[in-house]
Amino acid sequence: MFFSDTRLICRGMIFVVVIGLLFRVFLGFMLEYNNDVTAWTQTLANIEAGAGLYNMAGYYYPPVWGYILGVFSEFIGFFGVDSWADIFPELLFVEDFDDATLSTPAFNIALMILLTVSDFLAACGVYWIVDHLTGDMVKAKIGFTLFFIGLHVMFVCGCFGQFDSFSALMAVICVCLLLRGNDFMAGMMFALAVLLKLFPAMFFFIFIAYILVKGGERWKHRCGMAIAGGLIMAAVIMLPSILNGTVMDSMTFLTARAEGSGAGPADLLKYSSLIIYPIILILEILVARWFVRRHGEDIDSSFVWFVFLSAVVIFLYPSTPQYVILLTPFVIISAMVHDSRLVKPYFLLMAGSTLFMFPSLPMELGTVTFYNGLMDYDTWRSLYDIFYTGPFGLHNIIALVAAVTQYLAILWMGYLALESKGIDLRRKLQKVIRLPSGQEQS
Amino acid sequence: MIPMGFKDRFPIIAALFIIALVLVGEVIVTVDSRDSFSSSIAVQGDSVEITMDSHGSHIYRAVALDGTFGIPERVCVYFDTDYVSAAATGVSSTGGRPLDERYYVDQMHDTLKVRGIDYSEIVGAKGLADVMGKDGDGVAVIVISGSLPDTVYDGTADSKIFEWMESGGRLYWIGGILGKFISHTDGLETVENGTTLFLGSECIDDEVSRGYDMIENGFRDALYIQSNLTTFSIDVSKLPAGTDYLSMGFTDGKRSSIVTVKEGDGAVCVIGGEYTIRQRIDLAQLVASGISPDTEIVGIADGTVNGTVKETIAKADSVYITMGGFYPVYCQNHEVDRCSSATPV
Repeated sequence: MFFSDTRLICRGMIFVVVIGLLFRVFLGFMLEYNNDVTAWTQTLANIEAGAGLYNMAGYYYPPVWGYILGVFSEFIGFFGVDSWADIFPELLFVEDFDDATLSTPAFNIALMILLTVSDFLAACGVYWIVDHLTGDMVKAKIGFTLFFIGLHVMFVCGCFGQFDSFSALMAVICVCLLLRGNDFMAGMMFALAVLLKLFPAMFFFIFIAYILVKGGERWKHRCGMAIAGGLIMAAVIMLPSILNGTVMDSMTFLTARAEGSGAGPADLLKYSSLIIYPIILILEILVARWFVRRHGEDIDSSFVWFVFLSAVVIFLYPSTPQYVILLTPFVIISAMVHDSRLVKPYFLLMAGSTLFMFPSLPMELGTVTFYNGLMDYDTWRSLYDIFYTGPFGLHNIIALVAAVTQYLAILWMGYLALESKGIDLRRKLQKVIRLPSGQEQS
Repeated sequence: MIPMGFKDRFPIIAALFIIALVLVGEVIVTVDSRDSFSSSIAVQGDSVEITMDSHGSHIYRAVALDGTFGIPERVCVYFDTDYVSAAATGVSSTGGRPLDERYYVDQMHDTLKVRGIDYSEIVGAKGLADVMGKDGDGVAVIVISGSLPDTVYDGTADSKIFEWMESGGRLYWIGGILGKFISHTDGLETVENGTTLFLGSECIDDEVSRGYDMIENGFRDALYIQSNLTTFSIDVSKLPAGTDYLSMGFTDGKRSSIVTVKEGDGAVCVIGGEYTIRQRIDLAQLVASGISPDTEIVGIADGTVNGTVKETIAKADSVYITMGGFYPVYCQNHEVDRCSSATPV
């Protein structure tokens, strides 16, 4: 058997970890999405220069990721990563849409190491929850594998350099802590997750609902502990921003996306988010209410399933590929614990999200072209022209196919999730529009 | 009863690790300061020995420059909400927050502080008139409003600003056509051929443009010039013959992204573009390094500093040090004739 069902560290697990590490190193060396990664170089420079996170422009997220970058700055300084990024004059022509700045290979690898730690711990969190709910070590190892060597997870780590893995990690650990009854610490973790990226805030209702149901007579105490942990952590994290008067700067990510002027496609997207996110908020409340009413006997198992459903609801608003990393551990857990049919939409999600990172392929190949010389400039420039010229642009076609694939995967998950709770959407649709009956799901 | 093995403790261990990671990072971010870096110079015959200290590993570049203005003794950033501004609203390069005039002005202080200038001040129209009513030697004024207030500029050659520049004042201009607008409390007044009053010809237009060809005089690399925007910058081919100027950065074939033009003992430096992070960083480099139309690069030394490093460079009027490359964490200008070998800055 590939995975031993008696030993945690078996040949299969070692193989998975090694493959995951090697592929991430390969990606970190070969591909790097400069647009996001060079935002971190600017943030690091601001930190080391003594300007904190918000005194000088360049960092627009809540502070938690900035604080992690603070530790990262010590790490790269200690290991001699002296040069972070350069601006290449021969790339200046891209700057209407992209960035002529490319991060250095050493910086890319260092960032990849940081994000790999997060990926590994998040995968361990998936393992823990599956093992806790099923007692099946093999299933838990499969869950670990599906996350740690999930293509899109590795791409976001090794190529995109975005910190959504930390968001997933904190959300997963929060769930683990709630399952263990460590409510105070769960509240702290929830606060960190929200102040890292705001999406996990949507889990608030299902988390409270779980405490309500599981806590029994002690629900008020448990709730109080969780909220106290969250508030204390939030206060500690936000204290420098409060003292410096930069709290609104830490919310720029949210407010800048919500603002819009004009009526172009991007602005319409911004306006639509102002309508759809309140609907998502209402749906999250309904999900939590549904859990309270229909949790069944196995409260813990049901809770984790509803967290998955809550995560699906978050992404009913179409998102860019790195955000769905937050959904990934929960769909894997539910596939292992509740409904193995979820593996198929998970692979579709993986395919769509990974493909969604390829519209920027020419810029991602910037490091190997301009630093390592593994690709000559003329070849790179031809690739760039193929992707970005023409009436529609290959990059737009790839992005469209990828976005549709990713979104279909999420809808498919939602369909299976509702069906497993006795809501047959197909039958309802058939009644409405008289579609032919399909085969039963295996 | 849940067995309390390592596997079961994993959530607690992971949570403690994450919390520790974030809290340690919070301390680092809060405590980190420019004081973690320092540099000093000592003249040794025909060369200058530089001593640099760095926290963490960073690339450095030391540039020996002749013909600079020197470190400004006073730096004023003009901003006055009582006067109508011609400034547009730019968007920062990450699209995060609009880089409007107020935000840009606020940013200038910290950007200059990284470069050893922690004494910059915001002055309004009346304050600017006070500044320009005195000798301009050693004084730098930054204007990003796209217009000059009527307290210093009235659209004629008799305006206070010209005498101030002639006496050594350094004007740094961003956004809008230099000299085109007079800012009043109740509106903007357009000046016909206002640019000619400053530069001798109408050599600035409002065509949106970028420079893709580097000006090969070494300054772009020496000072890590980042921005290639040429909108509102000077078309040097239209400057009157005999004009003393220095251009650097990038050119679009006509305009240069940065041009500094002699005005008596002072100068006006026009930086192309409208409100970007890169432009702000370039502006700070120019102010701190004291670049003038007469500046020449005498020598450059590169390397990596982690801890203490010594470097030798040719002797010149000043040595400008940058640590961190295009993402500077520390910059410092040292004037050679004022150097003290025992005083790191």
